[in-house]
Amino acid sequence: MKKDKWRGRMSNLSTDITFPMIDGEEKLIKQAIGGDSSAFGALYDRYQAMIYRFVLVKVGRREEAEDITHQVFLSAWTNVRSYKHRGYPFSSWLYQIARNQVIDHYRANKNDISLEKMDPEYFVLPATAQFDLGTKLEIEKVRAAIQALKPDYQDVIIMRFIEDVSLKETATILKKTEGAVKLIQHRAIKELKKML
Amino acid sequence: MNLSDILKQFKNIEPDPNFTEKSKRMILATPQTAPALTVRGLRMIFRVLETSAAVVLVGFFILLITGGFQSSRLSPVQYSVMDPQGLHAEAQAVEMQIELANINYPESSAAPESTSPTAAGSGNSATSSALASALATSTASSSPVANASGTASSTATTSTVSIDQALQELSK
Repeated sequence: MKKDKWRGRMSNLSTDITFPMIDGEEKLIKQAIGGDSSAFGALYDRYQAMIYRFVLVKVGRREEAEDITHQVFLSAWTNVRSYKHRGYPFSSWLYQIARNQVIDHYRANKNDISLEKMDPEYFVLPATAQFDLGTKLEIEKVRAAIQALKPDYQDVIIMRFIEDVSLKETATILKKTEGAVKLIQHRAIKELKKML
Repeated sequence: MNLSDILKQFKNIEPDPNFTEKSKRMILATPQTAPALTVRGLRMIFRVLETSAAVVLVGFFILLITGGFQSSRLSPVQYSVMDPQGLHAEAQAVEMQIELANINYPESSAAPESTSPTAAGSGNSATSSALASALATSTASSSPVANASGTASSTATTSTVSIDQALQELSK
Protein backbone atom coordinates (compact mmCIF):
# COMPACT_ATOMS: atom_id res chain seq x y z
CA MET A 1 0.00 0.00 0.00
CA LYS A 2 2.76 2.38 1.00
CA LYS A 3 4.66 1.41 -2.10
CA ASP A 4 1.72 2.32 -4.33
CA LYS A 5 1.32 5.62 -2.61
CA TRP A 6 4.99 6.37 -3.13
CA ARG A 7 4.83 5.40 -6.77
CA GLY A 8 1.85 7.65 -7.29
CA ARG A 9 3.62 10.61 -5.80
CA MET A 10 6.79 9.93 -7.73
CA SER A 11 4.91 9.64 -11.00
CA ASN A 12 3.25 12.96 -10.28
CA LEU A 13 6.63 14.48 -9.66
CA SER A 14 8.19 12.98 -12.74
CA THR A 15 5.57 14.25 -15.17
CA ASP A 16 7.29 16.36 -17.77
CA ILE A 17 7.35 20.00 -16.93
CA THR A 18 8.27 21.99 -19.97
CA PHE A 19 11.12 24.37 -19.39
CA PRO A 20 10.94 27.05 -22.01
CA MET A 21 13.49 29.79 -21.77
CA ILE A 22 12.25 32.21 -19.15
CA ASP A 23 11.01 35.52 -20.55
CA GLY A 24 13.83 37.88 -21.28
CA GLU A 25 16.48 35.29 -20.49
CA GLU A 26 17.78 35.17 -24.03
CA LYS A 27 18.14 38.94 -24.03
CA LEU A 28 19.98 38.83 -20.70
CA ILE A 29 22.34 36.17 -22.03
CA LYS A 30 23.06 38.24 -25.14
CA GLN A 31 23.77 41.27 -22.99
CA ALA A 32 26.00 39.22 -20.68
CA ILE A 33 27.90 37.90 -23.69
CA GLY A 34 28.36 41.50 -24.74
CA GLY A 35 29.97 42.19 -21.36
CA ASP A 36 26.97 43.64 -19.50
CA SER A 37 27.64 42.71 -15.87
CA SER A 38 24.19 43.78 -14.67
CA ALA A 39 22.58 41.33 -17.11
CA PHE A 40 24.73 38.55 -15.73
CA GLY A 41 23.85 39.76 -12.26
CA ALA A 42 20.18 39.16 -13.08
CA LEU A 43 21.00 35.64 -14.26
CA TYR A 44 22.98 35.10 -11.07
CA ASP A 45 20.01 36.12 -8.93
CA ARG A 46 17.75 33.79 -10.88
CA TYR A 47 19.87 30.64 -10.69
CA GLN A 48 22.24 30.97 -7.77
CA ALA A 49 20.00 29.29 -5.17
CA MET A 50 19.25 26.39 -7.49
CA ILE A 51 22.93 25.72 -8.17
CA TYR A 52 23.75 26.17 -4.50
CA ARG A 53 21.20 23.47 -3.52
CA PHE A 54 22.51 21.14 -6.19
CA VAL A 55 26.06 21.51 -4.88
CA LEU A 56 25.08 21.43 -1.21
CA VAL A 57 23.24 18.12 -1.51
CA LYS A 58 26.24 16.64 -3.26
CA VAL A 59 29.01 17.92 -0.99
CA GLY A 60 27.12 18.29 2.31
CA ARG A 61 28.98 21.25 3.79
CA ARG A 62 27.84 24.83 3.51
CA GLU A 63 31.33 26.33 3.18
CA GLU A 64 32.26 23.96 0.41
CA ALA A 65 28.93 24.46 -1.32
CA GLU A 66 29.44 28.23 -1.19
CA ASP A 67 32.95 27.97 -2.59
CA ILE A 68 31.88 25.69 -5.41
CA THR A 69 28.81 27.80 -6.23
CA HIS A 70 31.01 30.86 -6.40
CA GLN A 71 33.39 29.04 -8.72
CA VAL A 72 30.50 27.92 -10.93
CA PHE A 73 29.24 31.45 -11.48
CA LEU A 74 32.72 32.87 -11.81
CA SER A 75 33.45 30.31 -14.50
CA ALA A 76 30.11 31.05 -16.18
CA TRP A 77 30.81 34.79 -16.19
CA THR A 78 34.33 34.52 -17.56
CA ASN A 79 33.31 32.01 -20.22
CA VAL A 80 29.85 33.28 -21.08
CA ARG A 81 31.08 34.27 -24.56
CA SER A 82 31.51 30.61 -25.41
CA TYR A 83 27.90 29.85 -24.42
CA LYS A 84 25.81 28.45 -27.27
CA HIS A 85 22.06 28.50 -26.95
CA ARG A 86 20.66 25.10 -27.92
CA GLY A 87 17.06 25.59 -26.99
CA TYR A 88 17.46 24.78 -23.29
CA PRO A 89 17.46 27.17 -20.37
CA PHE A 90 20.66 28.78 -19.20
CA SER A 91 20.39 26.60 -16.09
CA SER A 92 21.36 23.53 -18.16
CA TRP A 93 24.72 25.08 -18.86
CA LEU A 94 25.14 26.08 -15.21
CA TYR A 95 24.29 22.54 -14.09
CA GLN A 96 26.97 21.16 -16.36
CA ILE A 97 29.55 23.56 -14.94
CA ALA A 98 28.43 22.69 -11.40
CA ARG A 99 28.76 18.96 -12.06
CA ASN A 100 32.29 19.45 -13.35
CA GLN A 101 33.19 21.67 -10.40
CA VAL A 102 31.94 19.05 -7.93
CA ILE A 103 33.93 16.34 -9.70
CA ASP A 104 37.03 18.55 -9.56
CA HIS A 105 36.36 19.24 -5.89
CA TYR A 106 36.23 15.53 -5.05
CA ARG A 107 39.29 14.85 -7.16
CA ALA A 108 41.26 17.58 -5.37
CA ASN A 109 40.12 16.49 -1.89
CA LYS A 110 40.23 12.75 -2.50
CA ASN A 111 42.43 12.01 0.49
CA ASP A 112 40.87 14.51 2.86
CA ILE A 113 37.36 13.07 2.89
CA SER A 114 36.54 10.03 4.95
CA LEU A 115 32.86 9.79 5.73
CA GLU A 116 33.29 7.21 8.47
CA LYS A 117 35.81 9.22 10.49
CA MET A 118 33.79 12.41 10.52
CA ASP A 119 31.61 13.65 13.34
CA PRO A 120 27.90 13.30 12.37
CA GLU A 121 27.38 16.92 13.44
CA TYR A 122 29.70 17.90 10.62
CA PHE A 123 27.01 16.98 8.12
CA VAL A 124 24.13 18.81 9.70
CA LEU A 125 23.17 21.48 7.25
CA PRO A 126 23.59 24.93 8.69
CA ALA A 127 21.65 26.15 5.69
CA THR A 128 18.45 24.63 6.99
CA ALA A 129 18.14 27.06 9.86
CA GLN A 130 14.54 27.91 9.04
CA PHE A 131 13.36 24.34 9.71
CA ASP A 132 12.51 22.80 13.05
CA LEU A 133 14.91 20.28 14.52
CA GLY A 134 12.90 17.22 13.41
CA THR A 135 12.73 18.42 9.78
CA LYS A 136 16.40 19.35 9.88
CA LEU A 137 17.34 15.84 10.95
CA GLU A 138 15.07 14.30 8.35
CA ILE A 139 16.55 16.49 5.64
CA GLU A 140 20.07 15.66 6.72
CA LYS A 141 19.30 11.96 6.79
CA VAL A 142 17.93 12.04 3.25
CA ARG A 143 20.77 14.27 2.08
CA ALA A 144 23.36 11.87 3.50
CA ALA A 145 21.60 9.00 1.77
CA ILE A 146 21.60 10.90 -1.53
CA GLN A 147 25.29 11.68 -1.10
CA ALA A 148 26.00 7.97 -0.70
CA LEU A 149 24.43 7.26 -4.10
CA LYS A 150 26.33 7.12 -7.36
CA PRO A 151 26.96 10.57 -8.89
CA ASP A 152 24.48 9.94 -11.72
CA TYR A 153 21.81 8.85 -9.26
CA GLN A 154 22.47 11.96 -7.18
CA ASP A 155 22.11 14.22 -10.22
CA VAL A 156 18.85 12.64 -11.30
CA ILE A 157 17.33 12.77 -7.80
CA ILE A 158 18.29 16.41 -7.34
CA MET A 159 17.19 17.55 -10.78
CA ARG A 160 14.02 15.53 -11.08
CA PHE A 161 12.66 15.55 -7.52
CA ILE A 162 14.15 18.64 -5.91
CA GLU A 163 14.45 21.12 -8.77
CA ASP A 164 11.68 19.69 -11.00
CA VAL A 165 13.84 19.75 -14.10
CA SER A 166 12.15 18.12 -17.09
CA LEU A 167 13.17 14.70 -18.27
CA LYS A 168 14.40 16.07 -21.57
CA GLU A 169 16.53 18.75 -19.97
CA THR A 170 17.93 16.29 -17.42
CA ALA A 171 18.88 13.99 -20.27
CA THR A 172 20.63 16.86 -22.03
CA ILE A 173 22.54 17.93 -18.94
CA LEU A 174 23.65 14.39 -18.14
CA LYS A 175 24.33 13.66 -21.84
CA LYS A 176 22.09 10.60 -21.75
CA THR A 177 18.92 9.50 -23.47
CA GLU A 178 15.56 10.11 -21.86
CA GLY A 179 15.13 6.35 -21.49
CA ALA A 180 18.44 6.09 -19.66
CA VAL A 181 17.44 8.92 -17.31
CA LYS A 182 14.14 7.16 -16.56
CA LEU A 183 16.03 3.99 -15.72
CA ILE A 184 18.51 5.84 -13.50
CA GLN A 185 15.62 7.61 -11.79
CA HIS A 186 13.90 4.32 -11.04
CA ARG A 187 17.08 2.74 -9.70
CA ALA A 188 18.03 5.81 -7.69
CA ILE A 189 14.67 5.93 -5.91
CA LYS A 190 14.84 2.22 -5.21
CA GLU A 191 18.35 2.60 -3.80
CA LEU A 192 17.40 5.61 -1.74
CA LYS A 193 14.41 3.85 -0.24
CA LYS A 194 16.59 0.91 0.66
CA MET A 195 19.02 3.20 2.47
CA LEU A 196 16.36 4.97 4.43
CA MET B 1 7.49 12.48 6.86
CA ASN B 2 7.28 10.99 3.40
CA LEU B 3 10.37 10.91 1.18
CA SER B 4 8.79 13.01 -1.54
CA ASP B 5 7.78 15.62 1.03
CA ILE B 6 11.29 15.73 2.41
CA LEU B 7 12.69 16.12 -1.07
CA LYS B 8 10.31 19.02 -1.62
CA GLN B 9 11.58 20.59 1.59
CA PHE B 10 15.05 20.76 0.01
CA LYS B 11 13.76 23.46 -2.29
CA ASN B 12 13.41 25.77 0.69
CA ILE B 13 17.14 25.70 1.34
CA GLU B 14 18.56 29.10 0.46
CA PRO B 15 22.15 30.32 0.49
CA ASP B 16 23.30 32.86 3.05
CA PRO B 17 22.36 36.35 1.75
CA ASN B 18 25.72 37.78 2.86
CA PHE B 19 27.55 35.13 0.86
CA THR B 20 25.27 35.77 -2.12
CA GLU B 21 25.92 39.49 -2.09
CA LYS B 22 29.66 39.16 -1.60
CA SER B 23 30.04 36.44 -4.22
CA LYS B 24 28.02 38.38 -6.80
CA ARG B 25 30.06 41.51 -6.27
CA MET B 26 33.32 39.61 -6.63
CA ILE B 27 32.20 37.78 -9.76
CA LEU B 28 30.95 40.87 -11.54
CA ALA B 29 34.15 42.72 -10.70
CA THR B 30 36.14 40.05 -12.53
CA PRO B 31 36.88 40.95 -16.16
CA GLN B 32 35.59 38.63 -18.82
CA THR B 33 38.19 36.64 -20.70
CA ALA B 34 38.39 36.62 -24.46
CA PRO B 35 36.96 33.46 -25.96
CA ALA B 36 39.73 30.93 -26.04
CA LEU B 37 40.55 28.84 -29.05
CA THR B 38 38.38 25.88 -28.27
CA VAL B 39 38.78 22.36 -29.54
CA ARG B 40 35.94 23.00 -31.95
CA GLY B 41 37.72 26.07 -33.29
CA LEU B 42 40.90 24.12 -33.78
CA ARG B 43 38.98 21.40 -35.59
CA MET B 44 37.47 24.00 -37.91
CA ILE B 45 40.91 25.40 -38.72
CA PHE B 46 42.27 21.92 -39.43
CA ARG B 47 39.28 21.16 -41.64
CA VAL B 48 39.84 24.32 -43.70
CA LEU B 49 43.55 23.55 -44.03
CA GLU B 50 42.76 19.98 -45.05
CA THR B 51 40.33 21.11 -47.75
CA SER B 52 42.67 23.73 -49.16
CA ALA B 53 45.57 21.25 -49.21
CA ALA B 54 43.39 18.78 -51.09
CA VAL B 55 42.39 21.42 -53.64
CA VAL B 56 46.03 22.45 -54.19
CA LEU B 57 47.11 18.82 -54.62
CA VAL B 58 44.31 18.10 -57.09
CA GLY B 59 45.26 21.19 -59.10
CA PHE B 60 48.90 20.15 -59.14
CA PHE B 61 48.05 16.65 -60.35
CA ILE B 62 45.75 18.00 -63.06
CA LEU B 63 48.64 20.13 -64.35
CA LEU B 64 50.92 17.14 -64.19
CA ILE B 65 48.48 14.87 -66.05
CA THR B 66 47.72 17.38 -68.82
CA GLY B 67 51.44 17.80 -69.34
CA GLY B 68 51.25 21.48 -68.86
CA PHE B 69 54.08 21.57 -66.39
CA GLN B 70 57.43 22.42 -67.90
CA SER B 71 59.95 21.02 -65.56
CA SER B 72 62.76 23.08 -67.09
CA ARG B 73 61.14 26.40 -66.32
CA LEU B 74 58.86 25.29 -63.53
CA SER B 75 56.18 27.50 -64.97
CA PRO B 76 52.72 25.97 -65.13
CA VAL B 77 51.46 28.49 -67.71
CA GLN B 78 53.84 27.39 -70.46
CA TYR B 79 51.81 24.88 -72.46
CA SER B 80 53.30 23.15 -75.50
CA VAL B 81 50.13 23.84 -77.49
CA MET B 82 50.82 27.53 -77.11
CA ASP B 83 54.19 27.26 -78.91
CA PRO B 84 53.69 29.24 -82.20
CA GLN B 85 56.47 27.47 -84.12
CA GLY B 86 55.10 24.07 -83.21
CA LEU B 87 51.62 25.17 -84.19
CA HIS B 88 52.85 26.40 -87.58
CA ALA B 89 54.70 23.17 -88.31
CA GLU B 90 51.66 21.18 -87.32
CA ALA B 91 49.43 23.25 -89.59
CA GLN B 92 51.77 22.67 -92.51
CA ALA B 93 51.79 18.95 -91.92
CA VAL B 94 48.00 18.90 -91.89
CA GLU B 95 47.85 20.66 -95.27
CA MET B 96 50.25 18.14 -96.75
CA GLN B 97 48.15 15.28 -95.55
CA ILE B 98 45.08 16.77 -97.15
CA GLU B 99 46.89 17.13 -100.48
CA LEU B 100 48.08 13.56 -100.41
CA ALA B 101 44.66 12.32 -99.49
CA ASN B 102 43.17 13.96 -102.54
CA ILE B 103 45.45 12.08 -104.88
CA ASN B 104 43.78 9.12 -106.54
CA TYR B 105 45.77 6.01 -106.99
CA PRO B 106 45.74 4.73 -110.64
CA GLU B 107 43.69 1.60 -110.95
CA SER B 108 45.08 -0.14 -113.98
CA SER B 109 47.45 1.55 -116.36
CA ALA B 110 49.46 3.64 -113.92
CA ALA B 111 50.17 0.76 -111.59
CA PRO B 112 53.04 -0.89 -113.42
CA GLU B 113 54.57 2.47 -114.13
CA SER B 114 54.62 3.41 -110.52
CA THR B 115 56.51 0.28 -109.64
CA SER B 116 58.99 0.48 -112.51
CA PRO B 117 62.50 1.16 -111.33
CA THR B 118 63.27 3.35 -114.29
CA ALA B 119 60.54 5.76 -113.50
CA ALA B 120 61.49 5.90 -109.87
CA GLY B 121 65.19 6.15 -110.32
CA SER B 122 65.29 8.66 -113.23
CA GLY B 123 66.23 12.29 -113.00
CA ASN B 124 64.19 15.45 -113.31
CA SER B 125 63.85 15.39 -117.04
CA ALA B 126 62.89 11.73 -116.97
CA THR B 127 60.22 12.35 -114.39
CA SER B 128 58.79 15.26 -116.34
CA SER B 129 58.54 13.12 -119.41
CA ALA B 130 57.10 10.26 -117.43
CA LEU B 131 54.56 12.56 -115.91
CA ALA B 132 53.77 14.00 -119.32
CA SER B 133 53.31 10.55 -120.78
CA ALA B 134 51.25 9.54 -117.82
CA LEU B 135 49.11 12.58 -118.24
CA ALA B 136 48.85 11.88 -121.92
CA THR B 137 47.47 8.46 -121.24
CA SER B 138 45.05 9.81 -118.70
CA THR B 139 41.35 9.37 -119.12
CA ALA B 140 40.75 13.09 -119.52
CA SER B 141 39.76 14.06 -123.02
CA SER B 142 41.12 17.56 -122.85
CA SER B 143 44.55 18.42 -121.44
CA PRO B 144 44.17 21.02 -118.72
CA VAL B 145 46.83 19.34 -116.66
CA ALA B 146 49.39 18.89 -119.38
CA ASN B 147 51.48 21.54 -117.81
CA ALA B 148 54.34 19.84 -115.97
CA SER B 149 54.34 22.44 -113.28
CA GLY B 150 50.79 21.54 -112.25
CA THR B 151 50.34 21.00 -108.58
CA ALA B 152 48.36 18.53 -106.57
CA SER B 153 45.29 20.72 -106.87
CA SER B 154 45.27 20.19 -110.58
CA THR B 155 45.80 16.45 -110.21
CA ALA B 156 43.02 16.28 -107.76
CA THR B 157 40.49 17.66 -110.14
CA THR B 158 40.27 15.37 -113.15
CA SER B 159 43.48 13.53 -114.06
CA THR B 160 44.82 10.34 -112.53
CA VAL B 161 48.55 10.05 -111.85
CA SER B 162 50.65 7.54 -109.98
CA ILE B 163 51.51 8.28 -106.39
CA ASP B 164 55.25 8.25 -107.05
CA GLN B 165 54.92 10.75 -109.80
CA ALA B 166 52.80 13.00 -107.74
CA LEU B 167 55.21 12.85 -104.84
CA GLN B 168 58.11 13.66 -107.07
CA GLU B 169 56.24 16.56 -108.54
CA LEU B 170 55.36 17.83 -105.14
CA SER B 171 58.93 17.57 -103.96
CA LYS B 172 59.94 20.03 -106.66
